[in-house]
Amino acid sequence: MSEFERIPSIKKAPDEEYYVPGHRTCAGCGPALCYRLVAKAAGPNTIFIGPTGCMYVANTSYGCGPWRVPWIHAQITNGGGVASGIETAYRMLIKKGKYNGEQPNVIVMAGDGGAVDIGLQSLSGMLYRGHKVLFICYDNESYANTGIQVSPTTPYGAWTTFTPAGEVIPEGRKHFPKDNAKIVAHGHPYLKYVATGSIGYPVDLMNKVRKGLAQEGPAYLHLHAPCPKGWQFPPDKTIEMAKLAVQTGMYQLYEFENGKYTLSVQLKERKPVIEYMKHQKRFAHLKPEHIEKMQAFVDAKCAEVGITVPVVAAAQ
Amino acid sequence: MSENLFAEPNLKQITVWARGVLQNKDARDVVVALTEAAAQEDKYVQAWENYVDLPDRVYVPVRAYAKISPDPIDSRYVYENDAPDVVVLMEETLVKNDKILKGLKEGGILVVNTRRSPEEILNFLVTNGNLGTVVTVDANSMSTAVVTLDGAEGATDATGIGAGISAPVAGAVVKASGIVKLENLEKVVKNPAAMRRGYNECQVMKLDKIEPAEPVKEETAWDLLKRMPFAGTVDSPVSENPGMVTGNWRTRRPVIDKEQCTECSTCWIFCPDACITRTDNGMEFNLKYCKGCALCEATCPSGAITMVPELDFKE
Repeated sequence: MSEFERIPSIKKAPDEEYYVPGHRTCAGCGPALCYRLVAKAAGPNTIFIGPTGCMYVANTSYGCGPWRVPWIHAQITNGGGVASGIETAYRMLIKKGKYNGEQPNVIVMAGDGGAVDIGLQSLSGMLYRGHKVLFICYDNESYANTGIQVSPTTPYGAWTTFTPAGEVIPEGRKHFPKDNAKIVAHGHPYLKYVATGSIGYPVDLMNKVRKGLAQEGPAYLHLHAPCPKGWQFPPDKTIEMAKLAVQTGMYQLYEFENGKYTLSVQLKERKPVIEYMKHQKRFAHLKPEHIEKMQAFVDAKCAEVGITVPVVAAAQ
Repeated sequence: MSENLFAEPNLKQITVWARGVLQNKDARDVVVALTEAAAQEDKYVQAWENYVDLPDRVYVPVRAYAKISPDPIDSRYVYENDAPDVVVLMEETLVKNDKILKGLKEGGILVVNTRRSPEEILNFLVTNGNLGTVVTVDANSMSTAVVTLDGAEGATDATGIGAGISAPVAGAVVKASGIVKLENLEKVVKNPAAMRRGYNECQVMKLDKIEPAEPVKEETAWDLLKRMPFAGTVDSPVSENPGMVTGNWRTRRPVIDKEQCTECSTCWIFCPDACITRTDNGMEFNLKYCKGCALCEATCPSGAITMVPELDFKE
């Protein structure tokens, strides 16, 4: 890994924007904030690959885009493949003396569909071949662009248009979500760095972007990006949802290097999952037994990465 | 659209503007309720949403359309209403949008869901060309908005028609336009009491003089096509993307008390739209693009930011 400049605080984060105002994302969009923070951390020598998803469609409406740096669309299936080609082309041009600039940061910004579901094979291939690419999944836990359909990261119990709650299936979504950070972490010999991040913790997120870009090979970031439309909460609660996800252990922030998990946020205790779920209408139909099932799942996920602090309900 | 492509003198067009996601369902219900009622009067009808506005995003202005005619509708494949007889605003700050009355027929009707008077609403209009009547109806006090993704983009709508604010708004449309019979609308909507209140309690103001609309040169589909890059390259913006100005999404705007502001940068880092700039004069908001999400107000640790209703400002 090469040296990189750490951002010490919100206040000392760089002023320069590479994801500028003027995009058709929802008011209070978590993935849009995710994009802005990633672009800010990565800086000007960056090429973004955007597989199909909200961050392609909402950002490029009507033949324009908000990126100050080069951006290219890839199909939802092949973010990793397009990035591999761009990374290799620059490497070869530099090697042959046909390009004088520095190797650009090549970043894929894929949604959970483009990273965890339809695009997983292309991501895996890219990691397997060892391309120096930072692959980022902005996870809003559904196919939000097409009107909120279920994706593999949709949490248990969440309403989507494909998992409506009813008499037969009272919890709506029956499955527990796929854990992509762990899927990629344990099966790719050349993968250098895996981390999870959240827009609720912007300094941590930006430093993980820089650390991922400083690796000599592929890196994968899974970033939690609450979606006011799909999760059905008011747009001014996006950051509160992101923070509560971490504070309840619904979403665990860690780095995975050399076979070891390092926690990024030291929690003193965990809030019960209901503290997170009660603000989101996608969980409004759930009964106490479903919440218990979710709590047990989250407890196990936290234990997996070494979050051992107790769950403490807020004092009444 | 060429002006005389379809000669349909008896066709009535209704265009309903609303805020994306939060009012999509109610906007759709207004056009569906009115056309269902008209169908009972043996009219030819059509109700649909503007595909260009989809997928809808929180607060984005979206349009739902109705066509009602005693004759077969030849223009049924035209995907936008080009010359509305009635324009409906499901939310009052949409009056600041300069596109709402585009193409309005002479003597056309504007119906606004607001507590304000027709005179006040008239004040905010960028243009009142061709406008004949302004109607206000305080639908939010008569019914509760139905916020749902049901019925959007392939999903099944289980919530019925006209249970929310669409009922009183549709009532006000009927009062001002007589486009369908009240009793037929009553049969269609799920909340007939609210619909009747909208009909009875709306304020109708007929304008003394109809000012002709300024002629606007219409861009043809071919012009548009020539401008549109498809599978091509476009220049990167430098400081903002002028192709997607989002300031008119806002229903409330952030106002900062610079005495209370500690310049901690929290609002700045959390703005998804990069609409806050750190300057020597403190935090500056970019109102050309601010969508009014209020994350700045919600995250400010010192309570220095307040969201103020957009219509408290003339500009």
